Amino acid sequence: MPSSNVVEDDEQVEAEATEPAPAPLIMLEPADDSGVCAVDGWCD
Amino acid sequence: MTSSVFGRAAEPIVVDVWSDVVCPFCYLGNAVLKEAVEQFPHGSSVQVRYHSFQLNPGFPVGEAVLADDYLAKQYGMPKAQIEASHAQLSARGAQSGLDYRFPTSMMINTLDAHRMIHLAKAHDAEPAMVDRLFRAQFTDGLNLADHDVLADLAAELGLDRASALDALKTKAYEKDIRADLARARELNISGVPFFVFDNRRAVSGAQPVETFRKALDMIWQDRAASPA
Repeated sequence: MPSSNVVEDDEQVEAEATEPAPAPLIMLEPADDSGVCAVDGWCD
Repeated sequence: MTSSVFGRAAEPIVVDVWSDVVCPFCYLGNAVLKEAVEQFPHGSSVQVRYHSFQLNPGFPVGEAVLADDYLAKQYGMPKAQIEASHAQLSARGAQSGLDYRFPTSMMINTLDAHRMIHLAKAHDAEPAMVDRLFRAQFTDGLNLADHDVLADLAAELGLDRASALDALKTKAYEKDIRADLARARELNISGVPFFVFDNRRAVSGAQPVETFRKALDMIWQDRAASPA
């Protein structure tokens, strides 16, 4: 799953500085670990 | 908290969805997201945008095989395991009004199907096209690698059939599709469906409706906490 551009649920997103770089996404905790088709085509 | 009709509250809540038309969980996730938006008190403020993602970009363009045969060959999955997996997803889908008919679903290269979504987007028919392609793939057992099939679906939605065929023939919307894929890589999306709410919060996978409702509620609260 996404990693480097993602922080955990409910963490605060740092205030944007002058740079327009997008804030990291805040991932909601999944209720279900399944439900994803991966890039190799495998669905689980 | 009461929201002003001015400022951020007046802007649509944008939900960006990365999905592929051969992804069974994307069909389910799309339906569940819709349920969540319908339940959300501010659902009329939600705008859903679709983005291309390819699970099998290396699959030969124009070819089609039964998806079950592909799974068995590609992953060595026993037929019983495939059927058990399908039964589980079919049951979940039925709860959202979806009619999965896996034995007739085809595996294809979805690039041309994504062209139709981008064509529809240019005519404000994007959600209808996404819905129709999913149903064609998972219920109707249509071959979405076939240009005539894709053009027929476009015409069914009121789009110009000849324009659809032309878009397929000329490989239109390549730049838009590549941009969607590039953005997915930037976000490190490794599986679909993947949902980004207001470019701030994200949900991975076909989660229960409560998860999507939570995301929408959080975004609404985010806006209330930081008005424009």
